[in-house]
Amino acid sequence: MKKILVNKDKCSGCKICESVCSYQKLGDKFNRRKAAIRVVIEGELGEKITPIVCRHCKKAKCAEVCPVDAFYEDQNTGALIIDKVKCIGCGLCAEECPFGAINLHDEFEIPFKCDLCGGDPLCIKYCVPNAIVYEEEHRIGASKRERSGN
Amino acid sequence: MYSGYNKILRIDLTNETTEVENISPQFARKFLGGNGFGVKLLYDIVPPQADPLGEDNTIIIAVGPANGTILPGAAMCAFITKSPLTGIFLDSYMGGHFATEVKNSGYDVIVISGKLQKHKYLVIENDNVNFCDAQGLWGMETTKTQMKIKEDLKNSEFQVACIGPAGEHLVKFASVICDTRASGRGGVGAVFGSKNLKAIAVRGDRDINVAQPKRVLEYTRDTFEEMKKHPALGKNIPIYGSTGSVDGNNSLGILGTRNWQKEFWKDASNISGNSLVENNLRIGHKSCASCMARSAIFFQAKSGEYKGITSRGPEYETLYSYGSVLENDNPDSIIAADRLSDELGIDTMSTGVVIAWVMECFEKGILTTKETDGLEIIFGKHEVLLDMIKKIAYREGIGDLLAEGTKIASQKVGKGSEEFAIHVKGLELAGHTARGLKGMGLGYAVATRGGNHQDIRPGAERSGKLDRQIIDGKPEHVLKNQRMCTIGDSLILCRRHSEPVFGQYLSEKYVEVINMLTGFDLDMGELNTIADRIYTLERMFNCREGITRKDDILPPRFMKEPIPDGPSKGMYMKEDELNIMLDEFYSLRGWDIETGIPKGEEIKRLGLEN
Repeated sequence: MKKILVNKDKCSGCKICESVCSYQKLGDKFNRRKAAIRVVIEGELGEKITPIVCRHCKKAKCAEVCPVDAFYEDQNTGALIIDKVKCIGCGLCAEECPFGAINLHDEFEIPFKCDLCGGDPLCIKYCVPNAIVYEEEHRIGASKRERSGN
Repeated sequence: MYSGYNKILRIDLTNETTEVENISPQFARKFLGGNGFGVKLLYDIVPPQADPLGEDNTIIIAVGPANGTILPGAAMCAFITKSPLTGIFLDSYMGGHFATEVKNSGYDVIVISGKLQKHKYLVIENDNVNFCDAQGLWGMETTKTQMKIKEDLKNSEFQVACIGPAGEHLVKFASVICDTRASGRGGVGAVFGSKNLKAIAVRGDRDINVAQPKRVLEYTRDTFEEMKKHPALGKNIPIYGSTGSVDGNNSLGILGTRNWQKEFWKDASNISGNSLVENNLRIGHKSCASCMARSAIFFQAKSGEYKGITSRGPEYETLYSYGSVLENDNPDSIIAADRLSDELGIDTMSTGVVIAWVMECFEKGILTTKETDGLEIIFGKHEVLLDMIKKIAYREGIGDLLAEGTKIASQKVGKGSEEFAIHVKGLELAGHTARGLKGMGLGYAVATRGGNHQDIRPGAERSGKLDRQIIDGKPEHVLKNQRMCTIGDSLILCRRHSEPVFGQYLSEKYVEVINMLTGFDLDMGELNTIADRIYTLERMFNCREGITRKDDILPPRFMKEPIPDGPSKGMYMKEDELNIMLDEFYSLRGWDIETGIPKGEEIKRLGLEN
């Protein structure tokens, strides 16, 4: 399956992906606090920059702990999706995700989590340094194996 | 629908109270945002002749319609106040992510007035404003201050703009630092210090609405494609940042060297962007919010006593101010000095230029080791740089005098040292020539915050698009260039994006972008009027403080001494050339030719009567 692959060495922390994601999720506005992808900037001079987005795990902790079995796999994209009707908004999935890739917000009952935009993720189209790309998962680690990947 | 909230947050430090006020749609259309909002509020709030470091001065933090969106380069935040360095209008812009959080918190403007009784910092999170104890933070450097506050607030999403020791010691050119970005020029940091304000932490959750979100998305994507193909933005800037200008300016013989005794330097290549990168001093890069240029480069010193020191910089201006203007060709010392300046919260440009002035005083025997606590402050001697920066930041020894800025220091020392004090209206000059580019020279002379390279830009003349040595057409060029800068500073866009994509002047592209963000139906005529309204109001603020035509001059060196050698040999700004350009510039601006004061009819045309 295709996933959003992250190369954190290329990320410059502009956070455009967050804004674009929020536009996609909200329809007509921008709000980085309501995005499914997040860029975490840490370090003394903000030099450690990491984009965090759902990895659509095969043995997903979030789905495992969900008390109402709200997670399902999209037949077309393979994305792990939250069923908005079943979900009770308890936040257990966000707590269990090893990457912190599930985000809650006061104004919403359902968590924000990447759904791959139905197979055509908008964020990657705005990432100029190609720190996030939408590729087959067997390409994970490719940039580390292949010199040209840098 | 205006891309903002139409809200001003007013914070009274004296009584520790806050108030939220609405901005009318008419006000928004008249002043646009950022720079525009800031100057109008400052003009109305700060009484004439107010002491910049007194309780009456006010700090205006303003964002514009582009901030918080994905528009390329929409990262800048305006800090506007009366400058303690110049005593006149000051606007200083900071990149990074601070502007986004201000916008997300639901305000277009934050007005900070009065004075705290004790050292405190402000926490602004949506509707909540808290005044927090900063006794334990006073004296702390800027990186530690930011980390400590984020730790105390238990949330790294806060952006923290703070001062370092220089601001606390009221150094007249102290900066405000957030992340590794600075509101560097003119001493906003000293105004923070005078109010006992150590820092402002901001974060917000609010939505950002624009009039035509789909168009903003499409526009940004198209612009990115265009930018990727641009030779500077797409290729060189992500590698070199702004450091490429060292070689560029030196090759034209317009690199300020040895306190501007010269503008061509045989050793310039030792501190050029090329050399920094080739010698593997570049260790990474990052970007501000909504930036594809990725121009924020990390450099690390590799040798000597500086080994291992990392800085997010130096930018070109600092390679000039801690490099060429001091004839210092040791890049490691510049990296270390850049980092130290950010940590102490001090403007690298003013600091470097005031040290260059001391070096020339030394050369001429006006100052000796008696006045400098034994330090030999001579050109090319990198070993004194860090000590001098610390002395200034903490006002120790001769640093106390230098902390007043080059203008005051040279007036106090006298003995002809005013002749080589490189400032306009008290603001030390940036690293762009006033002798080798005639329009730039005029722009410096009339800029509303003093020796400023952000009201006038060197690009059109430096690239050869305009003949750099003729004065014909330059007043009009300066006017059009100022309009572009004024509108850019009101949106607020970074020049690094706006200049390559939009060009040097306002155009239909600006109209298109502003209308898609705000839902206004501006045309070029109205946009020019908005730009003129903002700039003329800045001038009115200055004239109220006593500024007239007599102050619109360049440092004596640039008007008397031709450039001695190099490709620009012989060039300088003759007094009659400047006068001819000033006459024409004032006429174009609707300012009185005799006095340089905006005329009644122009004030009326711009709707600035009250």
